Amino acid sequence: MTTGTEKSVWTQLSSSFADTIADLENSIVAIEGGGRSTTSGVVWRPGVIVMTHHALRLRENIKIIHAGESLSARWIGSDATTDLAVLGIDSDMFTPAPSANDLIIRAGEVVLSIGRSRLGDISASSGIIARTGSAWRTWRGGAIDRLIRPDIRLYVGQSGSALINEQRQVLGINSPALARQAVITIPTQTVNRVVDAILELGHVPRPFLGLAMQPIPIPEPAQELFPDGADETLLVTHVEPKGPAALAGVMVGDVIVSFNGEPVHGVREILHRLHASRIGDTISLAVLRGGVKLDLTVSVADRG
Amino acid sequence: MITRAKPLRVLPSFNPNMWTASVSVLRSMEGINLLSVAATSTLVYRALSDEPDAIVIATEDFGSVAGRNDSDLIEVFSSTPTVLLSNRINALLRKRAAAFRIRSVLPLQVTSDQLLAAIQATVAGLAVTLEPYVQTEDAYAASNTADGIELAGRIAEHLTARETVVLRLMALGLGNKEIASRLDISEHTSKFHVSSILAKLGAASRTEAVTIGMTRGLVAI
Repeated sequence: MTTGTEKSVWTQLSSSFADTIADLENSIVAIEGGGRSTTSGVVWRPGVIVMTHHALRLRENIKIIHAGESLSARWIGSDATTDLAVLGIDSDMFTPAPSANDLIIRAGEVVLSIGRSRLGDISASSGIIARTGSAWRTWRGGAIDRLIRPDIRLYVGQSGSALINEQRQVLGINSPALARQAVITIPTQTVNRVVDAILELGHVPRPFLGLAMQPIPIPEPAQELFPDGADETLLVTHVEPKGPAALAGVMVGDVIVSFNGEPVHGVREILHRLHASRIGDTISLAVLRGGVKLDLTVSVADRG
Repeated sequence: MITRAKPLRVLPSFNPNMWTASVSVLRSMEGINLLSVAATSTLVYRALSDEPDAIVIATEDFGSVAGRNDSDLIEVFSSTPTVLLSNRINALLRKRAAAFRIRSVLPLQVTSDQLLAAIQATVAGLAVTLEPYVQTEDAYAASNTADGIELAGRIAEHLTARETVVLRLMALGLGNKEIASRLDISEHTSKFHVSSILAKLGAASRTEAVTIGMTRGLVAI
């Protein structure tokens, strides 16, 4: 029983959860996307809703259910690798959810997942942050900026719900499809990056060179063409037809001498540099072909 | 050390061209009663009728032994201590051996002493491999060096043309169902290709398989 103005911890905790949900209600929607059940979505920016890609079956006649009403939304784009889909809606009745890119998240912090059920009412769960970690790649090869795994349960229709911390900030979008038997929260930073790309280009660009290489020892007769101390390099084993390397004139059998003037230390290093590059960047590639050194220029393309 | 009153009855199953000197020496070793060679097709029958204490089977490609009476073979190998000898030991072979409940896998070129010890140890319930040697090779192969790749090429089985196509689709981020529909095959077949790829490349996950594919020049970046 409360005495005077003191409230029990139970009451405080309970009210703060309920108040948080009430605060964010206008940023969470239910989406009729063609699946067996509706799915949840978060109003990310004015007129822009983010949901999970795997839960979206339709590309047309997508409906948003809110406060008993059914509104039309249009599909803007998706990125299967990060399991995100972006919808547009012509309505100003929603409020973008508050979020920030670099929130400090610690294991053990208490969090709420807020989504909507298929009837349109709020559907929430609670738990703690089970794991945090650094950047990783999904099984489809998508780049996720940080690992956030909450210990919460996603009920039917809660895919695409928002994960909220006690500051009432959105930590990210919840997906059950990125890890086996675990909920993963796609972090705000990743959602922002993907939303920016989809709004600008319709998809997330993926830097691509169009060549496959494997390590070989430096051919002895050509030793002096290579920088001192290098003992191995890469051999081109495949050139994608009409790809950037093909257009630059790279051929199967070419031996890489340097990549932007520097020696190469393996395919992983090239992958690293590629992931850090932008579409349209030019790369000077020096290759050895038939004993002759050639200088080629490759323009990084979008895999599409 | 328990001295056996009776010699171990060992049933050999070999292709004629794989008969090695070590096995011949085994015949004359104390403590071993080497039964007449069983062709792989009669292995199940011979195992049931002769009731050997141990089986020594040598094969180049375990796939030719398996695929026939799989469940009968599993029955035989799980109830009789078996040593598998092969001149190509890789992740795929070890995986297949494990599936057939064979604990001990050794190179074909073991000495007769090693073979005797392996048979006795396997009969005692142990699993025998030349593990440190193999592990070092695997670890070395995993390193992205020219020598490592050459070694890996010798250790790993090459992907078939179909498997290379599937690996490239995996690199695009496609799931099993999507690969199946893209290649117009069943989802079951596509899963089978993916498992085989993972085993051949020694990868624990799809992501790892794709990365290995990229570092081996199989997948374009």
